[in-house]
Amino acid sequence: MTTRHAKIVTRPKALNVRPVDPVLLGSALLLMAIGLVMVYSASVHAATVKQGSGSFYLTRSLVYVVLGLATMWVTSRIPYQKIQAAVPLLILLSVLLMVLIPFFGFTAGRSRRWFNLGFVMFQPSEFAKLALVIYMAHIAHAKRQTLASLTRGYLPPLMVAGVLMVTALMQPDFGSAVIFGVLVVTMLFVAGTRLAYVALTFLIAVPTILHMILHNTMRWKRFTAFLDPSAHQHDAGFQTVNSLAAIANGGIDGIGLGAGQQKVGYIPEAQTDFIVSVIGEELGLIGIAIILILYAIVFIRGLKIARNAPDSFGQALGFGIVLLLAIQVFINFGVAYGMLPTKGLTLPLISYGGTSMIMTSIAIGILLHLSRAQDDHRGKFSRSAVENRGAVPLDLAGGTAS
Amino acid sequence: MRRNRQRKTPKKKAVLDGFRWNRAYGVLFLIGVGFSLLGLRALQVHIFERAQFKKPADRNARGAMVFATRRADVTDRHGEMLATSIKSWALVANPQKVTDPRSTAHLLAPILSIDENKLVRILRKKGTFTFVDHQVSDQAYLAVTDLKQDKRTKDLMKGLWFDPDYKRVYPKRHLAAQILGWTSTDDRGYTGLELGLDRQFDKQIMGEKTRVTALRTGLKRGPGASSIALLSTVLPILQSEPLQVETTIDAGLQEKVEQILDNTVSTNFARRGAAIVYDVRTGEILSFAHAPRIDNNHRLQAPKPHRLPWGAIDVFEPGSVLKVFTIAAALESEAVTPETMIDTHGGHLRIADAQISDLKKMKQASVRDVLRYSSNVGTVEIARSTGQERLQEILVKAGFGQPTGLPIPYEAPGLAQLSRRWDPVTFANIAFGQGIAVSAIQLVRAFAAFGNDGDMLVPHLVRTVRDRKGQVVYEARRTIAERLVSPETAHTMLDLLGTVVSSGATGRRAAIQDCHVGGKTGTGQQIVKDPETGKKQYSSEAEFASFVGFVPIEKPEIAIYVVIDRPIGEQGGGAVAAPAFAKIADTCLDLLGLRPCETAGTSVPYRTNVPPKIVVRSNTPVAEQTTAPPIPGTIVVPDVRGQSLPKAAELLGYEGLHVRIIGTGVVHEQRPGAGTVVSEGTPIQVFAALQAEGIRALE
Repeated sequence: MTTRHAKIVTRPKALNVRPVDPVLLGSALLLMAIGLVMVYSASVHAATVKQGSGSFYLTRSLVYVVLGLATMWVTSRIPYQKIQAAVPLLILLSVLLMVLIPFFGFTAGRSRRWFNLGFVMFQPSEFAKLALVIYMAHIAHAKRQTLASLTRGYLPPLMVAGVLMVTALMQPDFGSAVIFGVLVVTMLFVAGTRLAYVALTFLIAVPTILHMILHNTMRWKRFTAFLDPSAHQHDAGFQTVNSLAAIANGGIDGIGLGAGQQKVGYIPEAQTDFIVSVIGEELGLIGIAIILILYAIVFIRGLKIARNAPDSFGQALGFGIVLLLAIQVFINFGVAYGMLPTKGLTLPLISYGGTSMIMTSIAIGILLHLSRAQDDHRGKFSRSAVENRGAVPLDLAGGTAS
Repeated sequence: MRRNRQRKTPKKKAVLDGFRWNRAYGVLFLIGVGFSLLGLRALQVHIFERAQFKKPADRNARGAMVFATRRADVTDRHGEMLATSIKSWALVANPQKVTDPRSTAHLLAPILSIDENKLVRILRKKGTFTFVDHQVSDQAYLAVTDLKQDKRTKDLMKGLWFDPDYKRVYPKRHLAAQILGWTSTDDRGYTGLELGLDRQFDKQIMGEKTRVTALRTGLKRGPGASSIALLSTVLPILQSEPLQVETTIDAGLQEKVEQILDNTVSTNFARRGAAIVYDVRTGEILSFAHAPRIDNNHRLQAPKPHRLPWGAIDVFEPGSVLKVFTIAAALESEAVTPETMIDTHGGHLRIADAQISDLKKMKQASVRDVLRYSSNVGTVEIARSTGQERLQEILVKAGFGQPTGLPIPYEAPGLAQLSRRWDPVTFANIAFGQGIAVSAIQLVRAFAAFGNDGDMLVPHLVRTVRDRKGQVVYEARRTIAERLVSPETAHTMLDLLGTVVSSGATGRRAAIQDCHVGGKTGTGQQIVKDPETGKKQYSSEAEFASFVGFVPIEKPEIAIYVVIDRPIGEQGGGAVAAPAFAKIADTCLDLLGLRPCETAGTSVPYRTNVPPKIVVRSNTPVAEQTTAPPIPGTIVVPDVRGQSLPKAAELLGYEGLHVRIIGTGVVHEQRPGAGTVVSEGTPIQVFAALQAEGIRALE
């Protein structure tokens, strides 16, 4: 004990001199690099035909990656406690942007999801996802005494998420709405809310979702197409059937980088939502496995970092980020492999998309910062942190707050 | 210490965690289950049920694409480009996908300038592939592309798309236009050498469309909305060097000959003219000129009769030129010698009810003088002493009545009646070149035999054909078609022909300085319809004035034949054609390196590997010649920016530069730039784009 004390005393700036987690950083950078290559391969035909230049998406993607690396570096140097201070601002901004979308948003395809900033398209839902994670981490940390209360603990974050979900559905962006819902409920659950609330939420949510699917033609089409893609291969099942055809065409070792056939008009949005199909076709099961392993490394390192975070905000934040990334990766792969109805979500770190790339970079940057703030000396540091806040340790498992 | 920590950890958790890691692990377990299912699904799709899932991809890969392989380039004997193909677009259709052919045709007709009903017929064809229009203009390409993208019309444009195509361009415009002929809109030979090549050589390598199994794209519109073939399949087709057809034509000589002929035709107010420069030793046609000249790139603007290579496909009564063969037959049969005196009856002879007369009235004349003064009466007498069989024999051997086999389609065999017995009038007429019709190429071929020790050669217009790898697949070989006369007779004939071009003789105006030439004039009367009686009879005015001769006469290298159709004013081969012959002969001395004449035959540069190259640009308008090239053999690169590709290729090719085309549409950049002085044959890179795309590319 004394030696540890001594260490802290002799290294008061320990937080700032620790290097970031090289394994996490390396895996993330590798995924981004693979992303650049695959975005180019997936988009070169469409870009040549529609934009007049085969490297149209590649050059933009390069810019996003560079911007992402810059924000990642900056974020990794911002003390995460400062992020906590910005929570009200972040969540208000998210809600405001999402609410403004129907009025000022830019429409592409059948969806109105973007703000046209002139030089770049900004997608508020991507921003809101990360903001919601930060917000929920804040709730888990600062409101942990009241989490057992329905009105004071459970409902407020649910309402925030509700607003986000409703605005997302108006775009319409069913995928993001699902993510908002899953994020908020899961975060409340792991933060220690009552199981009864969660169960109740599911009881209300499941029929609501079913109702929404049944009463929305496009969603219903997609849903039935998902259940039997080949029967709808010329309309709603077109994407799924061709995505699966591409992946199957790739087999075990793929038909070769750049040689994909299905990207020439059969896989819509090959560089964003369906980039997995292109990877599956060109790099085969081996390429898919490598990418999944890299994601697994990111998630596992992220969880380790979260586990070792010095306080519950950091822990919840780390876990939330891993959760956010994992859900998105799973949904994206699931859609490409025909396991889930088509959504319209990007694959973090790989897909083409400015907002997604920068937000994911910020998320990774936060994890990297947390990796610098590892609680090697958990006892002393953490306790003092808690004591400084004057927080009262509670045994939340008991659910004594009622 | 260790125990201490172990004890401490759970306690610390209980104190600090606002975060339930046990619950978090539960969530993570669920996510793990999800990813495991994903893994199983991946195994199913990638491996176990792969064949089932990949069926749509296999279907997509079964499209077909049709590529136009590039038609052969045609060059002159020194590699000067005479005809080349430029990439363009063809509008093609799958008629099964065109739902409303009438409306679609109504939209397309004004854009393509094709009759609407014709379009409807095309769009109603059976099958899944048809060409709608070839070599679509840039404007039409853009207009159709717009229609395909316009929401109101895109449904009508279903089943229509663009495929690569080629447009034929003749960089030297008028040069040998009639001989080269032209191609139809599908880049296949249509007339002249272009068609002859198609017939003589494999159609596949002359620009046949090649069908390639291709990947159909899923795109519904836009320029990429057709099929994509694997690059490895298409690139060899698109990038393959075209077949190279090297003709025997010498572009520099051809240009000069055309000029001389054109001048002769216009100063004599003649209908048309033809001139052939023929290599006596090899049978190669160095120049085959027609006048008036036409621009091969705009040949439809020229009157129809001017478009045809009439020197090969038309026949005419040659007149006195044929006396050469009558006298050769007599010499060969030893009926006469050059000095045998012939009774010319004072210039008049009556056979049956036909009156034959001479211009120069002589009581009697030697065989030499009969030829020298072109005595009809004397020739008839010589023919009579030789006999009809002997004359028929030499005319058959000379190939009259048979096509020469040049790769010029529709070559005329001629009218010779060589298989039946002639009545005395016909016999007399044929002896001096009436009542027999030959083509210019037939005549010069047979005549050249006298310069080649009596051996008549097979004429050649194509020298070599190289395949896409540069390998020679055809090479013209000197081939003796027939021994016309013995070498002795041939030499005697040269001697006689030499005297024709002497002072006071009919061919005196064919003489040139520095070199002794020899030949024979010809004035063939034409049969015309009498406007009053409607009877066809020999005209007293309409004639074919011609001159055929050797340069140099002592040891002939080339034979030149000039024939002028219906000159007005001055009449007769000696007055009209002989001066043109002299000019052409003089030009040949310079351009073919035959000067000085005495050494001719020992070293003829144009047959060696270092031919004197002549850049043809005399017809360039003064305005286009911005700066004079400072050094001979160098060229000031013209500005082709803003020009269409065919026009750019024409301008550059005309200057003797090679053109390398990148893109399609309108030229927006060239390297080296305009005004640069380069050496002849320098490749000029030309970057082209469709107008709209060009702007985009420049941005």
